[in-house]
Formats: sequence, structure tokens, C-alpha cells
Amino acid sequence: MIRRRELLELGACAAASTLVRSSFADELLLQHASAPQNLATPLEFLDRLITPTPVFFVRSHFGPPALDPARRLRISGLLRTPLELDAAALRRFPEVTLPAVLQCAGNGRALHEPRVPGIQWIHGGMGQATWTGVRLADVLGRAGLLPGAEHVWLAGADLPPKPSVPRFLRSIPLARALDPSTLIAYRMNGEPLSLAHGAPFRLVVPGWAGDHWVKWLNDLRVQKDEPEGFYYQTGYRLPIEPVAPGASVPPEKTRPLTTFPVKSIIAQPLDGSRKPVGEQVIVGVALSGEKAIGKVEVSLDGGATWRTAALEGDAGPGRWQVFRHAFTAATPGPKRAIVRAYEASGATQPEKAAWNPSGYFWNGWHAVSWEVTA
Amino acid sequence: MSAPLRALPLVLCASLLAACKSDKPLPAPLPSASQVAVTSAAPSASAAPLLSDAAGRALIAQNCLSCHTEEMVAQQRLTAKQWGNVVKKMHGWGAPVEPENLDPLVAYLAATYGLSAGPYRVPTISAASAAAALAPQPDGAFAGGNAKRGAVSYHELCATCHAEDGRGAALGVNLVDRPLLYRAGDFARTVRVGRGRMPSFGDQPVPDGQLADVLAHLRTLR
Repeated sequence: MIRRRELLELGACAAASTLVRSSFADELLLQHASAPQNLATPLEFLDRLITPTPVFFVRSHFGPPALDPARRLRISGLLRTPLELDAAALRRFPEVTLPAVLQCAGNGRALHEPRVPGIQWIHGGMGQATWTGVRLADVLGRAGLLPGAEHVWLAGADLPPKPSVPRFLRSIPLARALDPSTLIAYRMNGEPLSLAHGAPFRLVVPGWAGDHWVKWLNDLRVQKDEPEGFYYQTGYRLPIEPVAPGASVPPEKTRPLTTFPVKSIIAQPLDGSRKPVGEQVIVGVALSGEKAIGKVEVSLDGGATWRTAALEGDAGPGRWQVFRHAFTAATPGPKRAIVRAYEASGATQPEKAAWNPSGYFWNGWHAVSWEVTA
Repeated sequence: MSAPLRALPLVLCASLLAACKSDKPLPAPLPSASQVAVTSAAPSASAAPLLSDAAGRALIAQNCLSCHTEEMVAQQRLTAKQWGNVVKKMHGWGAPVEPENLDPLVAYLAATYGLSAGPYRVPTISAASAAAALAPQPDGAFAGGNAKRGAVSYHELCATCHAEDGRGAALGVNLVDRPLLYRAGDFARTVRVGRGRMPSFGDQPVPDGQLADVLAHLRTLR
């Protein structure tokens, strides 16, 4: 590990990336779709603070554009000085590195009842990485905001398969754009962004669902109003009020989704696995897009009693911590663990996630069953 | 025009996808009822006749698989009403389903990938293979194409379906700024084997040099 860090510090990125890639080459991602790629992080990798890039989930609407390191980012709209930046120009702004969870809004969609259409993510539509780039606030500050600026429209270089398919266009409010954690990133886990993860630039919006983390970012427009079009007015919206499972919700009763809610997922033991008698360790991650995690509880008796798990990693909104709870099983037999996380404010996840028509933000209690063997 | 050149329009007219790796049939969670083209009336909302497995898969291949791979369909478990909404949305976005095929397609999808279909097992891919699927490949036999000649070939042979600007139209998909353009072997195979509405080329070889020219032209488009 020390050696790898030294290599990175020396700038020998090529050598380091070969090392990292080869050690995970044979790990299996879940292939929810092969082209465009929609790949899930293997569940057993949700046991650590940083998800290795080779097994980090990939979400694509239309698939990537060609790899083009010279791609430029246009910044236009309600600005005194519109900008057009390439990688070298972007790197003249102060560089920032921060850890943050990237999670697809539809992560857990397959667990909603009744079922809804879309990529049927189970738990692996998320990962945590370190992201390196420059603050969007610094770039917008250089360009100079004009009066009336309220929303920042975001588009990438990925073209839809046909002109009759809407462009993938997202938007964030200006206040979120100016938050110091909002980055235009060019490195992930210390290496240059790969094409699958948005090379050369992607937006990083810690705490907000992945649809805002626009990949292959090349067109950023500061506007007075929210954008129009399918991906803003129809897609990525949640009911304003809770709705009955299966209900249809009219557009005026919806709002754009933003931060992902508190949840916790068990990575080990895997459901259906077998472990010898002795120490049993329950490990996983707890996260919230809104607040820091305050506490994680594990129940081994179907929810009658709960024990507090140990937490690792720094607490903060939009990042995850690893939880760990160990106990001794002296005799063989079936075991079942349930986990639930609390935000520092005391808010916790529901036993059953709130159903919504597009299957976003599943955050019910996660339970696993395994067999303790002699 | 030479014989191979005349054959190109048919091939290039259809859609190209970034990764055309397999012609595997769609997994069918329900036992296929019959190989007869039309078997019986489906008890679905649309009351369309239930297609045979072969006919249903052909409709999916022709109307869905230019933009999606088969897993996208096979992983869904939806009611006839939900499938109807999905097909309506995709048809509105340009899926080239003929009007008379809309109800049969919905009925087939609902019968095959409905709530009573068994559990879906998500396939896996190694981290190395997933990365390799997007990585540029050497041009090999398709190196050194002439973009000017390629523009002429593209205009004559491809533009009807893929549009003059390469961004796709009713049948052809977008060809601008795609990783496929830097994977010449995959590009050539897609042209020669076909995909979705693209027919397979059959016996007549597509000249490597002409594919190289078209590729060189497509790389200039933005």
C-alpha cells in the first residue's frame, strides 16, 4: 500500500493504475445491461470505506461518447464572461479531493413492490470513492454570475440514439452549485476518470443522487428557470406526498428528487451463505445524503431487540461509514440479521421503503439469513 | 457500382450499437408455448393474439435491440398495463414498431416477462471484461481510411437511415462520437453481421477499404 501511494505521489499514474486494475480484474460485477453498460458493484464489496474503481458500479443512459481527453467544458448563460475550459485550464483552479458516495436514484428498484420498469438494481447501484477536481463555485466565480441566475443546467457529451429521444439534461439549483462540495472532477480514487465514469470531466454533488453527477460534462448553463424536457419534468421525480403502492401520480404532485435518504446495507455475511460456529461478523455500510450517520443497530431476533454496531470512517452527509457487529454463535443453526441506520438527528430508515412510481430511493431494513454450521 | 458496394446500403442502413457481442436468444422464463406463428388469444388487456416465441423474439430484436441489449427487457417483471406504457413511451421516442405490431408486442412482453415469470438471475461480467468492452482497439485491417471518400460512401449508403449528420433517424441510430468508432473490428462486425433491423450481410463481403473510409469519415463528425 505504501508503495502504491509513493507511486501516485511521484505521478507514476500509469504504473499505479495497472497495479490497481490487475488486482480486481477477475471480480464479477452484476451486468444489468451490457450496452449501454449498467453494472452493479458486487454486494461483498460494500464492506469497506472506498469502493475500488474496477468494481465501482456504472450507470449509463445512452452510453459514453468516444474517449476524448481534449473535450472542452462550455460554461454559458447568465454570466459576465462565458468560459470554455479544457483539462489544463480547469486545473488552474484550486484542487480539492473529497470522499463521497455515488448512488443511482434507482438503487434498490427491484425491491419495490409492486415492481416498476427500469434497471432492476438490487443493492449494488452505489459506491464510495475519493473525487478530485475543482469547485464549481470557483469556476462560476471566475465567470461572474449575473442577476437572475437561479439554476445550473448540466449536459454531457453522450448523444441519444436518435434525435427523437430526449437529451439527458439535468439541473441543480444555484445554491447547490455554489456549495463548496460540488466539484467538476477529473480524478476518481486518485486516478484519471475512466470513460465509463465520465472522462474527462464529471460533476460531483455529494449527497445528491447520481443523476446529478453528469458524466462527460461538456455543457453547463446558468439559467433563471428549471429546464424543460423528459429527464427533468417526468424522470427523476418523487411524489410530494406519500402514495399507495401502485398508485399513478400526476406530474403536478411530484418534485425533482435530490438527496438520497438514510439507509444501511449488509455486505457480509451474504444471504444464503454458511459460516462455521464461532465468531460471526456482520459488516456493511450506512449512508445518508442529508445528514451524518449517528448510529447503526443490528437485530438478531427479528427486530425485538437491537444492538449498536461499531462505526468506522468519518461521519458526514453524502459519505458512508462502515458498521461492524460481532457475536459468537456457539451452536449450529439458522441466523438472521436485520440492520437499520439513524442520522445524527435521530431520523431513521423505515422498515418498508416508500413506494413511488419510478422505484427510487429504496431504503427499507436490509435483512440477511445464513447458516451456522458445525 | 460494384456488387459489394450495392450490398452496403442494406447493411449500413440498419442500426449500429457500441457492443454487438452476441446473437444469444433472449432468455425465456416461461416455457414457450408453440412454434406456430399465432397460437391463441392472449387474456391481456389488449386482447392481441399471443405470438410464438420466435415471432415475439423477432419483434423484440427488431424494435428494442437497436438501443438496448436483451438484458434490459429480460430483467423486467411487469403487468400488461405497465408493458403497454413502456412500449408507448419507447414508440414515442422512435422505436420503429409498426402500428399493427404494437398490441402483439405488448402481449408477448407481458406473457413472457410478466409478474408470473420466475426470478431473474442477473448475469455477471468480470471487471477486466467490462473495462475492455469500452477500450479502443487497434484499427488493424481498417486503418488508413480516407475521410473524403468515406463521406461520399456515407452519403450514398448510410445517410438514408442514419441521417446526413450521422445522429440517427427513424431506423438508424446515432453514429457520432461513439466508442465504437475506435473499435474498428467491432464496427466491421456490426456492419457485416447486423443488429436489430440491420440484416446480416450474407455471402457478399464488404470491402475492408470501404469500411475504413466510412470509419474515417464518421470520426470527423461532431
